[in-house]
Amino acid sequence: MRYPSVSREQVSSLRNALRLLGLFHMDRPELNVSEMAEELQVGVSTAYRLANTLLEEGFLVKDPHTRMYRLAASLMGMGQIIIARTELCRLSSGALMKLVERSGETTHLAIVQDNQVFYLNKIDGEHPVYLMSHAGRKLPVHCTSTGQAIIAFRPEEEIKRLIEMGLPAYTRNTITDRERFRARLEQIRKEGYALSVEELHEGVTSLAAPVRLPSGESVASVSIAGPSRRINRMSIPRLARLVMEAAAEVSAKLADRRDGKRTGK
Amino acid sequence: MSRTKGDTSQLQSVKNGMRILRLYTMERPEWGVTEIAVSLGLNKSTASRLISDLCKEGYLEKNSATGKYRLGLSLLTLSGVVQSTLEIAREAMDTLERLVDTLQEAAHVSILEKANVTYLCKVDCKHPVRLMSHVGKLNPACCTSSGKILLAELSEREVRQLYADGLPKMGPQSVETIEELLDDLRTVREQGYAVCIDEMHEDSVSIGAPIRDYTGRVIAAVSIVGPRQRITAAKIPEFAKAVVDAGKEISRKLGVMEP
Repeated sequence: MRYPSVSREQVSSLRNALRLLGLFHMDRPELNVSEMAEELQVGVSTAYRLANTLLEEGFLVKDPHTRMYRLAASLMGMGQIIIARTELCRLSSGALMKLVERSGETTHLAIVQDNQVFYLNKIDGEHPVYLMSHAGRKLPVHCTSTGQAIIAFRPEEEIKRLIEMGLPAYTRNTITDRERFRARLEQIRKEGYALSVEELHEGVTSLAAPVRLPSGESVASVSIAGPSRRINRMSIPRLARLVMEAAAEVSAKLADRRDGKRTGK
Repeated sequence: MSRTKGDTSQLQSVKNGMRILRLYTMERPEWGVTEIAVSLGLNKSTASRLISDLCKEGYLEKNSATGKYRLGLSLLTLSGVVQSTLEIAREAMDTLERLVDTLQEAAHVSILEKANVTYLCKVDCKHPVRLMSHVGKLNPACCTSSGKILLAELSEREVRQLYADGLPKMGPQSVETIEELLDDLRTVREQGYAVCIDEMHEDSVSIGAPIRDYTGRVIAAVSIVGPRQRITAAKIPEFAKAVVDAGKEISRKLGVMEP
């Protein structure tokens, strides 16, 4: 081959563009070219060319006054396509809607991927909590009710791996001690739900229950989250029951679906 | 190889990668390598290399059951980032719901992305929905009422530039020439709302009005859409007033002071 290095550069250029898109975050929805260059560790002119190509292709938009770039709103269309084609989202949307109606709180469907919690879906409650989460958001496993509810019902190797990666503190309430973390998982297995009182964000309490396979192993979790002044000692018993019922409904749907597949229905 | 030529081909791979992602629709959520290569006019080996990069960064994933590719979860993250940071969509929701209650037709808030409108949020009406739309969907601006509202904010030169390659043909009544479109945009500016009948789909009527930011600039459009049997010519003035009022209400929430 005459130009082996050129084809490698081509590959890295697309990957750099994709990573550039990944720099945008709910806490940082706008970026300028020099910020992009710094984060991607490329030259300013490279970042400029990548950003402009993404602009031309309609993935970024640029504010003509501030010269800051943002993700294009049409990306939401791709999110909708993913939610519509993801089996777990389809099977759970009825149960999530019911949970929102009965609890009035915002609900999530979460999975664990690459040692992080990943929200596959989010449905706003009566009092939407905008600043905490969105479908597609990634958060740590050890201090979220969604993460704890999933990991408690996973094999011992996975739990060990998570603990060995460390349990960093996010608030005063985050469990950072290994033994206490294991005791928490034991409690979740006994009670059937996880409760995080301000372990990730001050002022936010969440409850989650696992979606489980017939084998007992978890594949996802269903949660509600809201301000601690509303999700409190008085309301938690009722909300925990609602979350567990919703998760059980999704588990049953998943089991039906798998049976159907096996028997060729 | 000269530097500029290398740059161009690198950027071409970025463009082609992005065009692969744009192939995906609700109706067609999975694509095979050959299908992608044919649709975009690429070599199969080029398509494979791009797909492999898109997979590595989580933008595509392989469905092991079919051997085809679908959109990956990295895109769900980007979509969520957009959704969670859209101030207009948050501020508009209550107003949209009331508009739908009053008129019994679906309502949207949209913005312009090049020559397309994209829906930031929508509220469905109680009638069965016949017109397929979802948040983030792109439609040609020149055949929608929201699109005309947004195009009316641009200069004539900018509009001509957007349509340098001609106008897309959608419904039976969509505008066919740039002069016709410029005429429509003048009417929209004068009356303060836009009406499209049978321009996007046969038998559909949409009415749009502007949403302004605190500087008075049109930044989005609010619109309703429904079938011609329900939104009859006689009803249009009354419906248009309701849509214009909704646009003003959302603008006020965004900080616009009434003169």
